[in-house]
Amino acid sequence: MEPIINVRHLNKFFGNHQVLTDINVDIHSQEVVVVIGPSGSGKSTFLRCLNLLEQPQSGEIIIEGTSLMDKNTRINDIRTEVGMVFQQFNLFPHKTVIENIMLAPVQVRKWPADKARQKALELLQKVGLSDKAEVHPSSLSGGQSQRVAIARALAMEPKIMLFDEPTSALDPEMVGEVLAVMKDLAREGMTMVVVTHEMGFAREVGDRVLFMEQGVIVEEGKPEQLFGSPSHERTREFLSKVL
Amino acid sequence: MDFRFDLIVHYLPVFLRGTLFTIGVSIVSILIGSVLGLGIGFGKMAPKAIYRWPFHLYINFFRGTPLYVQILIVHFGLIPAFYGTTNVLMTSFIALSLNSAAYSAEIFRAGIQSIDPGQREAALSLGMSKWQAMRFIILPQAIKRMVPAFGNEFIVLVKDSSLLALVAAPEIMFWSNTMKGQYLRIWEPYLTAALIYFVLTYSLSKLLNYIERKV
Amino acid sequence: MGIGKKWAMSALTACFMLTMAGCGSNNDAGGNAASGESIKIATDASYAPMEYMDTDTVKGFDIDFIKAVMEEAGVKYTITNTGWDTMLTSVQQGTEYQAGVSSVSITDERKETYDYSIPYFESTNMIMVKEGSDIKSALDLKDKVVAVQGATTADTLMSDIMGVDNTNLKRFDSNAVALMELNAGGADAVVADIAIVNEYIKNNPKEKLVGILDKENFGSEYYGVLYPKGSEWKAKLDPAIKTVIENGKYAEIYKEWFGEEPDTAGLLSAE
Repeated sequence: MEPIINVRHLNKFFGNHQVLTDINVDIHSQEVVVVIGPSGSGKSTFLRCLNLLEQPQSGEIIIEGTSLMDKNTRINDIRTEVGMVFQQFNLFPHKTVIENIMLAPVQVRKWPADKARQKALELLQKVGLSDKAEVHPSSLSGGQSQRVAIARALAMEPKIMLFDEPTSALDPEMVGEVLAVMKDLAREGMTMVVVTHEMGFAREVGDRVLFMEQGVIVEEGKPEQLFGSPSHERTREFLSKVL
Repeated sequence: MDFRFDLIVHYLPVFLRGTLFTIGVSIVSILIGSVLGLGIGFGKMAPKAIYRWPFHLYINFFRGTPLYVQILIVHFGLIPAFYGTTNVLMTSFIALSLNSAAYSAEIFRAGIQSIDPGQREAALSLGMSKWQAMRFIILPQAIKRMVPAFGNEFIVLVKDSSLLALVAAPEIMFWSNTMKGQYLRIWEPYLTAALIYFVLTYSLSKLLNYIERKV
Repeated sequence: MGIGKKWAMSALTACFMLTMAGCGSNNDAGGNAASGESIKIATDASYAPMEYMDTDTVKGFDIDFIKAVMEEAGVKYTITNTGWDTMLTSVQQGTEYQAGVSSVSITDERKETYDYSIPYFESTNMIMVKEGSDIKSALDLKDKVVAVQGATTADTLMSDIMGVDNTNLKRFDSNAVALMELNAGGADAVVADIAIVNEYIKNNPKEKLVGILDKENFGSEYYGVLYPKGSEWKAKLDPAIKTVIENGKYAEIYKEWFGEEPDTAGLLSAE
């Protein structure tokens, strides 16, 4: 089967500093890929290249058969199919929770408002926040904010979800509620790419784990294999620090 | 020192007309200035330096030279070049609008750049265009932050409009000078003018406080 | 860092000293003063050739005239360019400056606030228009756009003709701007002192301007020295002014500045 995401020879520089070197990855539909690695390893940059929040200098990214590097590709259309969840939630503070969720379906997908509202309410129920529809984000806890952010991304009915350290900014007691929503999502068959430090999540939910360091993918494999018997010294070193 | 209230009473009707002129010119100029300023502010944020520099130059010229001289250039240079003769009403609107646009541009730029880049990224990641991200996400938040700065700019503009007396625009200071010439007295005309400006700017700042609480 | 700061401070101080020296520009010229009395006089030196700054020195007809008067009276004096508004307020108070000499016309309205010396200069206002204009007299200006320097007698005269609240009467900060307005087409005429108009027409032959005298509507007016109300200087200096006008010294200065004989008889009988 064709991979839904196909990355070939991807290189990314910030100025003269190369942050991604020759990245090659295939991700298949319904697969959950977890990216781990020390901070500064380029894993977030890699994720942000997948919806062109970062522009790579060379290489190829093909999503559902469409090249992101092709100048004729309308990147906005790709982004409607690729949801993203940020470390800092990035909810829109001037809008209520339900407005946060409805905005893109109405403005981008051109849904009628009542359809978007229906969808938003469904998603709020799914993330367990039906009672928060009319409040502003400032009154939410970190965990609640991140669950709203996930609902907001899902409202566009994306085919792929990107998670950029979704629990790193959370107090420890709130990590669980966010991971629970993500696990549900994985069970429902969502294609997910997750950058995280939550090794438990990687082991439990991940179909495949990529270990990145200094801009290269050092090792990849099934969780039990990578965590159980890593084949690279650097992977072993990293895991010994975080586990 | 004697203070001749009777002279002020005599001049009150024209001071009132001058006040209306000042208010009118200030309101129109802040409106035109902010529309121009929005464009110039965006220009200054253009991704390529070559597109930025004309806007950069504009802002620096109007912020870095005296309004006094700008008024003279507009009155005796710009307006006659396009209109054939001088026209004090055009000078008033155009000089103040162009000047105010430079300050507004910086207020817009600062306001927009003060918004967390994550807001824009979140909007783009949902498939919104750059324009939609600006319109629905960045501007509404930025404008709220700009209100106090715009209020200040408006108050400064009201006071700066007094420089239009230079080209005989019939505003408050102009009538104050007229009164001074008739009687060769300083305090009656100037303190009257000061009081009028104070009432204007004080009411304005009260109004702005109210707006700030509302938005 | 420390040295740089110190250097900057002294540079700053030097700048201030320079600018202050520029502002001051006192003319201490009461050389043969015997009485030990002294007076501080204010002027607005922006009205050539009557009084103006030649870089940092005050010059002009008024300046030479006041020198002659003070020599005659034996009074020590300084004359300082304070600008118009400062001159007015401080002379009205009378504490820092006891007199103002700055081509100030004598009018009844102004006499409510100030005392004046006897008249020392006769002037009249003149209309300046572009060649081919249909304006022939002051009354033709009623429905035109007229530029004047604000706070001058030209302003007062035109206010009487056109109405003080008529916005077609454009009052500018200086005659220089009023003249620009005429050239730029924003006004049909300028009204100003005859000396100013003649000087401008002479210096700008390319602009094709003509001066119109209207003795009927623009009568003679007289400049006086400005004193605070109730000043004792008026009694002390009026005789010296009279002597200077009578003894030929006045005519000498007048010719030097304007190249013609003054009408001293008219001046002396004017009050």
